[in-house]
Parts: sequence; C-alpha cells; structure tokens
Amino acid sequence: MNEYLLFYKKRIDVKRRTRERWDVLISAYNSSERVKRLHALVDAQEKHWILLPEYKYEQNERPPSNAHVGAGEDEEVVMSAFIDAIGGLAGRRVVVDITGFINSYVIVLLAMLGQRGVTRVDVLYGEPERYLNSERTRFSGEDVLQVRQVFGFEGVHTNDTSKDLLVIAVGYDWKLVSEVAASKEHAKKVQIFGLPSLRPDMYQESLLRSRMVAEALGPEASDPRNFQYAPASDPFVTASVVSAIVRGHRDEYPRANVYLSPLSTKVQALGFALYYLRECQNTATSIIYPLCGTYSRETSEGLASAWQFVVELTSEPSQKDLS
Amino acid sequence: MRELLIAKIKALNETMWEHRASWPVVERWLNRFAPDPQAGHSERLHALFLLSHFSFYSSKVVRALLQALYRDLFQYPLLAAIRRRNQNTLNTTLVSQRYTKLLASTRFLGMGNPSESGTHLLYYFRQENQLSKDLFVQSHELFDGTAAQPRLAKNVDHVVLLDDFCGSGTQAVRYSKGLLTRLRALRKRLRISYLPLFATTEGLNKVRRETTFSRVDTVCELDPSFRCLSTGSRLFREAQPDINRAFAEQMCRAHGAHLLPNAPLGFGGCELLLGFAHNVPNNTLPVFWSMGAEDGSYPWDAVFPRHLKGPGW
Amino acid sequence: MVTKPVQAAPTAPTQRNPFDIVKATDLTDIQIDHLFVDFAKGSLVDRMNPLSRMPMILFGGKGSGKTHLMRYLSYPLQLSRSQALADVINEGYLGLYFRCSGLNAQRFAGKRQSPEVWAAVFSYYLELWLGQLVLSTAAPFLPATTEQRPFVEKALRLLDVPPAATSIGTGADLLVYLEDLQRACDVAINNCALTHTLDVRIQATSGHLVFGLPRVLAECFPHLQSVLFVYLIDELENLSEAQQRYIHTLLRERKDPCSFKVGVRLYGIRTYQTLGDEINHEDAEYEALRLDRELRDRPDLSEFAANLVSQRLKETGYAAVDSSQLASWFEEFDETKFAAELHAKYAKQGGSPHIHDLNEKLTRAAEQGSASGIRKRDIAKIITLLSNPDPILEKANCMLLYRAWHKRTGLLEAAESIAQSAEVYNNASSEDSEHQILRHFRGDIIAQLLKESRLPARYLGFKDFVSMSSGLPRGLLTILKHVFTWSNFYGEHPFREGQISAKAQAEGVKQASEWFFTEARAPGAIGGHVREAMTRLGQLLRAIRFSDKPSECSLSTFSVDAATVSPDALRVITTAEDWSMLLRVAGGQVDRNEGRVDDKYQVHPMLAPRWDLPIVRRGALVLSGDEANAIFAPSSPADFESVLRRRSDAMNAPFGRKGNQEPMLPGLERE
Repeated sequence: MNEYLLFYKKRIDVKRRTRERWDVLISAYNSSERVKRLHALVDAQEKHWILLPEYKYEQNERPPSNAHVGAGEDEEVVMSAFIDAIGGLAGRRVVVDITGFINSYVIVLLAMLGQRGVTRVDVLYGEPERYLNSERTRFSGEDVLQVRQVFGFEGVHTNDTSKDLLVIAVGYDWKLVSEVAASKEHAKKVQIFGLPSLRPDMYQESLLRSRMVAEALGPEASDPRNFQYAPASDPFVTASVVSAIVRGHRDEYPRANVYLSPLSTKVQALGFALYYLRECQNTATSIIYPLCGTYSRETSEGLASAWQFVVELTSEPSQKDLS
Repeated sequence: MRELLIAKIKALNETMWEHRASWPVVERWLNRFAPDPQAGHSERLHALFLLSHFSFYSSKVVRALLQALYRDLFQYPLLAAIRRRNQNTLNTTLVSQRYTKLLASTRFLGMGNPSESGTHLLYYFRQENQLSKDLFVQSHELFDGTAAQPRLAKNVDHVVLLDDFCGSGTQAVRYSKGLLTRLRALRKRLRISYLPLFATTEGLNKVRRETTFSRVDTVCELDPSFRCLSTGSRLFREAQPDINRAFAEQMCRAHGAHLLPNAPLGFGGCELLLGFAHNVPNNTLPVFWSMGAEDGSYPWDAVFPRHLKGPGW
Repeated sequence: MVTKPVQAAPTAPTQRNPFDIVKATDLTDIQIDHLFVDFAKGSLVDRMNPLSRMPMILFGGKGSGKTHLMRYLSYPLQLSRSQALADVINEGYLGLYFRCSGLNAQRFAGKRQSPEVWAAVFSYYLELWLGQLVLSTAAPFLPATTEQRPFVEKALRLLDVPPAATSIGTGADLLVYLEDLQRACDVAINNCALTHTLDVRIQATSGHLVFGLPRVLAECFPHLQSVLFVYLIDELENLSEAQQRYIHTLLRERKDPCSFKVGVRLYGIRTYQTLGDEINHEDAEYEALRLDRELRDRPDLSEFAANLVSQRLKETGYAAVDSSQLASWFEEFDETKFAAELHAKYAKQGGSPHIHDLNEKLTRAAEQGSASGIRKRDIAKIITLLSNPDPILEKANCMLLYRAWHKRTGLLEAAESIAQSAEVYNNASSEDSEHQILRHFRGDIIAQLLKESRLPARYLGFKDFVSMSSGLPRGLLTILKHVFTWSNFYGEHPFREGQISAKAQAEGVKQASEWFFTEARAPGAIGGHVREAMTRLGQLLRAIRFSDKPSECSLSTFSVDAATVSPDALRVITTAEDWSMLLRVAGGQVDRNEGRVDDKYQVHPMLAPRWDLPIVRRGALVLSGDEANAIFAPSSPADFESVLRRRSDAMNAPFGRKGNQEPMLPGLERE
C-alpha cells in the first residue's frame, strides 16, 4: 500500500469563496493574477502576505494590508521572522497558498510549521490559464548565485561519493537544471518529469528544455528510457515516486549520498519536502536548490483551477474532514 | 527558422518520438508538399512548423499515463472515501482491506469491440497496475441469467470503460449506449465510469451530455486550443517569422481534401497533432498519418503512419 | 477511440554514440582506465609526478581532463591496472582521491554563527573526512585484525579527546568511530539551521589525522614504510575562501609521508593565503600544472586527440577505425567543387552577390558624390575587369578594389591593375601578384562567399574539430557527439559506412558551440556580463571579418593595453578568461609605435561558429581602452553601438566618407 496515496487532495471551485474556513492564510505575494484571486477566495480569519525578497517589490507595489516584508540573508531567516510575526500557530487551522512562493521557501516553510507544532496544514495551489510566452517562460532570474542545501534539509552524508545520486524534478527552467547538475557533477542523475503535466503540451515542452542541458545531465539521465514521471500537480504521488527512486538506489548502494532537487512545480517541491520529512531526516540525503538573486514576479495569466492538499505532519488521523 | 525547426524536430525525435521520424522519413514526407516558391509562404516550412508541435506518446509514456489513470482517477477517490468513512484513519491495513474489497467488485472493459485499441490497451493497463485478470471482462460477462431474463453478474458494483482516446465523442456515445441501457435496466444506480486516457473537452462534454455514465473523466484533457489550425490555436498565439495560421490551415485542408475527403482536417474536425506508439488517432491531421488517397489518386507519405507494423511493445 | 489497432513499429535502429560520455565524472573506474590516453613523449602522468613530495595545484578548465587524470592516479585505478595489491605499493604511492563537492561545504556558513566558529568546525570536519579516507583506502593493506591493535592505539592518541569506549581494536573500528564523530557534526550543523545553536565538540586538532594517520601506518606496518600518501583533492572551487585557506595551510605544512595534488578550475582559486596569513608561492610551496595550456601548446596534440577518439571508437565496438585514418570519415571542404557550384549558381542568378553589391555601392557613391553624376561606363568597365569565372578570385578582386577605394587610388586604374594581377596569379601564382592577399585572406574570402550565398559556415573535418577544442578534450568529444547524432538523424552510418556529411558536421559543430557558450559561464551577475560582452566582441569581430576590406585576416583575437581599461571591464575580461571564453595569447601583442606589450586574447575557437569567426588565429584587432570598455563594461548600449559603427564604417565602402567629400570615388571623373 502506497501510504502517500492516503493524503487527501481535491480540486476546489475557483468561481466562489471557499466553503471551508481557516484560522490563518499564508500567501506569498507576486504579480500573478492567480495568486491574488486565490488570496481573495479563501475564507480565513487572518490573511497574511509575505513579500519574498527575491521579487524585489518596492514600497508602492505592495499589497495594502497584512504584508510582511521578508528580509534577511536566507530563507530560514526570512520565514522565521514572518512566522514569529504572525504569532502562535500550534493548534490553529492553517492554510498556505504556495502559488506565489519560490520552491526553496515552500520547503523551509513546511519544516518550520512542523517544528512549531502545526500538525496539519492545508496547501493550496492555483493553476493558471496559461503561462506567458509559452516557449520561453522564465521563472527565475538567470543569475544563480549558489547551489546549496536547503536549511533543515541537510543530510548526514558519507565520504564515499562514488555512488551519489541526484534526483531532479525538471520543469521549464533548464538553466537551473544545468546549475544543479553541475554542482553534483559526479552524481548519477535521474530526471523526474511532470506527467501528467499541468497542460498536455507542457510535458513535451519540459522535455525539450531538459534536452538543452543534456550535456550537464549526462547520457544516462538524458536517455528517455531512464526518465521517471510524477504528476505535476500531485505532491503525494511525487513523494512516493521520489521515495521509490531513492529506495531502489539505496537497496543497491546503502551508503550512497542522495541529493534531491525539485526544480519543477511548487507542488512537486512540496512533495519532495514531505518525503524528506517523513523518510530522510538524519540520513545521507539532502535537498539542494539553486539560489537566484531575483525571480520573475509574473509568469502566468488567469486562474484555471485550484488544488487543495491536506498535509498531515503527524501520523495521527486529522480531526477535521475534507468537505 | 527552418534550421531551428529541424533542430527541434531532431530533439523530439531523440526524446519523445522513439527515433521514428529521422530526417529521411521527414524529408520524404516534406517532399509531398509544394516546393518553396520564389516569394510568399512556404508549404514545407509550415509543414515543419506543425511537425515541431506534434505530440507523440511513446509506449513508455503511455504506460506511465495508464498508471496515472488508475491511480488518479480510480484509486485515489476510493481511498479518500474509505478514510472519510473511517474517521480519517491512517491505518493502512484497514484501508487496504476495504480497498481490495471495492476493487474486487469493479469490472474494467475496453470501449468498443475487442479489435479496437481502447480494448487493446487493457492488457497494458492491467500489467502496469498489477491487477487481477478476473477484473477484466467482455461486456457480455457483466450479465448472468438468460437472454430473456438477464441479471447483473455477481459482485459487480462499478463498471469502468477504458479508452485511449476520445475525440469528438461520437463513437463513445454510439458504442456505449446499448450497454448503458442494458446495465441501467438491471440496476439504475450502478456506478459506470468512462475514463479515456486522452480526450477533447468537446468529446467529454458530448459524452457527459448524451449518455448516462456516472462519471466521465480523463487524464489528459485537450481544450479547444489544441485544435491546431483554428483561430484559438495555441500554436499561433505568438507571432512567428514566416508562419501564418491561415496559410497552414489552407495547406492542410487542400492536401487533406484529397487524402480524406470527408474529414480533411481529421475526424470530427479535431485538427489534432497527436499520436501514440500503438497508433495515431484519425482525429489527427491526415497529412501526418495518411499513406495517400485510397484509390491511389493522391500518393502521400506519412511521418507517423496509422498502420504500423513490427513487434509489440 | 482509435480504431484498427496495430502494433507499434520498432524503434528505428540507431547506432550507439561512442562519444556519449564526455565527462570523467560519468565514467566508471574501469572506463577511466580503458579510455585513458596519454602523450607518447612527456606523458601527463609524468608531469603529475605522483612520487613528488612537492604539493601540486592542477589548474584546468571545465573539460580539460583534470578529473580523468586525478582519478587515474587514485587507488581504485591503481588497483585496476595491477595484478596484486603489492603492485600498488610498488608504484610507491597511494592515491587518496576525493571531491570537495561531497563536503557540501556551503553548510559551514551563516546560520547565525560567526565565521571563526565555522572555520574551526570546517577544519575539524575535514580532518575527520580525510582521516576516514586514509583508513578506508589503507584497509586492504592492513594485516590480520589481531595485529592491528598497536596501530589503533597509536592512532587514537592522535585525537585530542580519546574515546570513552575501549572497544576500538581494529582499523575498521576506528573508521566507524571517525564516521560517528562526523555524523554527530552533521547532525549539529543541520539542527543549527533551525535551532540557531551549534553544538560541536572539536576532538582533533588540524593536521593531526591528515598527517598523523599516514605516519602511524608507515611506522606500524613495514610494507607501507616507503609509500607516499597522495591526497588527490578535486574540485577545490567548491570551497569558500576561508575553507581554501585551510587547504593552503595543509599544503604549506605538509609532512611526510604525505603529499597533495589539488585539482581546481581556472577560476576556482580564491586565495593563496594560509590560516596563518602566509602566502603560498608557486615553485616554493607548490608547483602548478596548467592543463589546458599544456595540452594546447603540445605539438603532438592532434596525435593525442586522434588516439583519444579512436580509443573511444574501439571501446564502443567500432574496431575498424584506425587513428591515422580518422580524418577520412569526415567529408572535407572541397574548394574546387565549391567554386564550381557557386559559378553555376551565379550563372543561374545572373551574377554574383558581391559583384552586384559592388556595382550598387559604386553607383550610389557616384550619385551622392556629385550633382553632375559620374560616367556610368567607367563603373561598367570596372565591373567587367573584376569579373572572373572563379568566384574566389573574383571575390579577391573586389576586396582589392575596396582596398584601393579606401586608399583613394584611382579606381579604374586600380581595376585594370587588379585584372592584370589576377591573370598573372591565375597563370603562374606569381609571388609578387596583388593576389597574395589570397594567401592570408583565403579563409575569410570563402567565409564571405558562403555568407553572401546564405550557406552555412564551414567548420569541417577532424583537424578543424581538434583546433576548435583547443586543448579541451571534452570540447572535442562534445563536437563529435553532436556530429554523430546529426549524422544519425540524417540517416547516415557514421564510422560504419560512408562519410559523415558536411551538413551533419555543420549542425553538430553549431550545437557544440552553443553548449560551450551555455556551460562555460560564471555564476551570478558577472556571468551575465561576460556572456553579453562576448556577444558584443563576437559581433564586432564578425562585422570586421565580413566587411568589404577587413583590416586583419582570420580575425578572432584582440589586444588592449590593460592600463587603459576600466576595472569593471578588466574584471569581465579576466572572468571570461577564467571560464575559458577567452584564451590569453602568450607573449601578448607588441605595440608597433610604442614598443609596449599589450594583453592579447583569442575568442575560444569553440565559440567561433556562434559568430562565424575563424578557428585559426592570425591578425589581432588592436582595441583602445575606450573601445574595450564599450565592449566589456559599457555604461550604456550606445557605447558599443558607436564603436561598432565606427569600426564598421572604416572597413566598408564608402569608408565613412559622406557626399561631396573628395575624393569619394577616386579616379572616377564626373561629367
């Protein structure tokens, strides 16, 4: 039995206000229409915006209320200040809209909520009508400053690097893929493609993009016969796919170091984080991520649909049902 | 532009297309289009442009999608229902037992007659999802009793019709009508699902409208923007040098009129650029799959022929 | 639903690409061994000199073969080329290879801890790491476990804090103990990210294990007495400046029986300082091997390259390919055929583009130059004089006329003289013919002919590929890899049957060039600046190469007086060099007027196809400081545009002269 399939998920209606009500909504502000619309649709007692420093919003561009300006040298500093500012979260019903987040923040946030006593968090993700400039959509700035482990997701590694494994969830941002691959040049690499993709043609598009960095990925990872798939909009199946890949590798090489890098959708990044928190703590596994100085604020148009994922951070059954 | 398109086609050929469209194949096909004129639009350039957007799903990908179909459209909703009914339990043994029971009262069958590929895919569906042979039946096996007094076979609570592709929806409506009537006559509220791997929005809506399926859903939904030559086509949203939608449409229509006179842009007027390793739907533009007019009056070469030969998957 | 199901066609058979693996990191130990190629004379292994006690820093650009070479010296490879363990010892050294990327060294920073704390923790961590490396590598050489206790007891004394447990009796136990210490360190560092407290107790002083363990091994086991423990530290670029200082400290304080070979990218050295603020100097504290340059300057590079390639072919089942015959598999540029094709093409089009262009320029200049106009018949006469059935000669004629125009010589007389010279050249290839320009500009003339007929540039043949790779084996392999896939795509049978077509080569080269441009980039904003600057430089060099009267032949190089260049521009130039986009030309460029030696750089030939530049280096463009600033660090886009315009105007008719400026059309009288 694939335990990850037990997590609740459902599509929610984006034409009306949510039927469910939460205590706290956390969203990351950006210029995408879907981010603002979801923020408005959610019924919550408190709604908080975090302005991630990478988007570089000026004062006059910020949302009018409950906007926390994120500042600090890394995700951990930014997010802990933000969570502290919101106040106690333990025991409250928390919903996070990850649509406007940057993947590394999604990952850190999940760990942080768990650490602060949140046992269940509802995660929303809004799908756009379409991405802008389909062939050339850029999500991150080109200037990758550094590829490093995400705080709280740094493993306990062994000094035998000969069987290292790097699992990359690839999306449109092929430059990031090449940076991450280069940072673990010696590792055996596995690409996970979003399939089913958010839209049917996106699979082909991400394949073409990953082709552009085939040299950095190496012949084995670039061979279609070795491609792995996980749904672009399902964190739970993604977690189970990563779990199976890592298990397979470790069965053969128990001392192998494993690096995970979710460069595709935020939903898949959530899946990576969930897998890590459930199975990888204090093992030779890390999540690594390319940090960029700036990220594009606007990469899509419209809000086509939205998903709600119930992430249970403990193994106790959740008290509240999904309606 | 031409060089960029060829580079893209080569990349697709090496990743998506299982090396089926190497340059000699493409060139032979390309030569069926008019040679480049001194001035004005080039047929061959437009043909290359369309080809560079052709989605061909290899057997490996189709298999992955068959897993997704089972997991996302069938298994997930049942597991969620089981949890809900049992105080959101995370007891895997309990959930597993209940699920096994529900699965045992499900029957899967292919849409259409056994020679069709909806049926053809059942084998891979079963294999990929490690399902028991007993769950797969022919439509007559859903019934017990006599011809005069039919009964629903024992332990059948959910009937799932699988299909690889639903284009206009016409065939799905036609093939399912009789079966649905007979099943509904025996048990009005029987759960009957129609789950094609790929479907157009139009096709899904037609089936939902005109049949009594309890559920119609798909893994990959193709909205009207996948109609590649019409005004809302996603291919032409951004202006491309030397590429013109109206010209492309006229070109495909002109050749298509010879190749498939009653559906020059593919059956149901679907205008798709879609193919599978096991076959190419006839809703795809005929210029891609046709081997020429049936009477030999208009010879043609396909890039992705509809009648492929060779060993199985 | 899809009707009439049919079975899938088999995947079209494609040949296995022998060049698929281009990085040493993707190779197994066995492949490293089988694919290793060295120079017959003055081998690279000898240059590495594994028995030397002097530490070495091995500099190499991405793909220079640095990792291949270092791994070749590592213990697993020593073992695979030996019959027995004793053979390894007989080599006189034990190669302890490790990559710095495995340390995930960026962890040792931030997290609300001071740099000093991190420096101490990092040194300790590396100590544990290297200690384990020594123990795991030496394990096969240890005697029976019962005889290991004296060694272990001595080794334990190397630690500041002796372990509480006394159960450590073997090398394996000790290894586990060090692993546990490292593990505790990892957990503390990880927790620190969210708890903000770093709970690490340092139990080994720097150097104690690194130098101590090999010493104790040598003391305890006679068969290891004369073995040099060579730490092969690869990918130093992954360490921060503070962390590199620790490595430099180890280099400076090296103790027997240890030595170091440190592999680093050209850009990767951040400091030469030790923790004690001393500077390590080349040839004093370490010796340097600059692999790219070493390879580039070897006279027998092509032989090396051919061996490298044929070894690959052999390993992947293309046994029939002999290294001396390699070139014959590639379609080469056939000048006679090319000229004949162009001639036929011109006949069909009613003339060549360059004659047409010249005619237009003369006419326009005549019209603009005078209200009364010029005698049209002179232009026609010039055109007739310059026309020639050999397109290359004809193109040279035009270039000579543009030169005359630029020099303000009478054009009709010039045309007559050119026509005579062409005849002389054609008949006897006389030494003093004006057409000597064909000797220097032949490549450029052919490039111009291709471009004006919209044909792809020719970078063809194995020899060209070797030149393009310019000492980067990975560059060569990547070109061949892409050429191979294109050839396959075009339905050819590379290295099996027939030649690899020119079009497959052209496409493959283009793709390899793109790869180089994408991959050879620095991180962060400076990387973007370098790419933009290289694009501007490429545009400028291309504009000159394809001008009417190029000032230099085979232009891929520029020189500049560094003293006149802004610090920003200099930084971009240096970064471009560090990332192998520019190659510094040894000896520089002597300024003819002032006798000064300027810095001279060549665009890496791997990038040549991006801007249709030559892969050989002849002429050099002398840039002023302002021009270099406009290319490498412009304050606005207009800076470069103006340089491009000025340079380009000076080399294209009418050479920057506007109407009514005499003599616009020298020698052409007005009526």
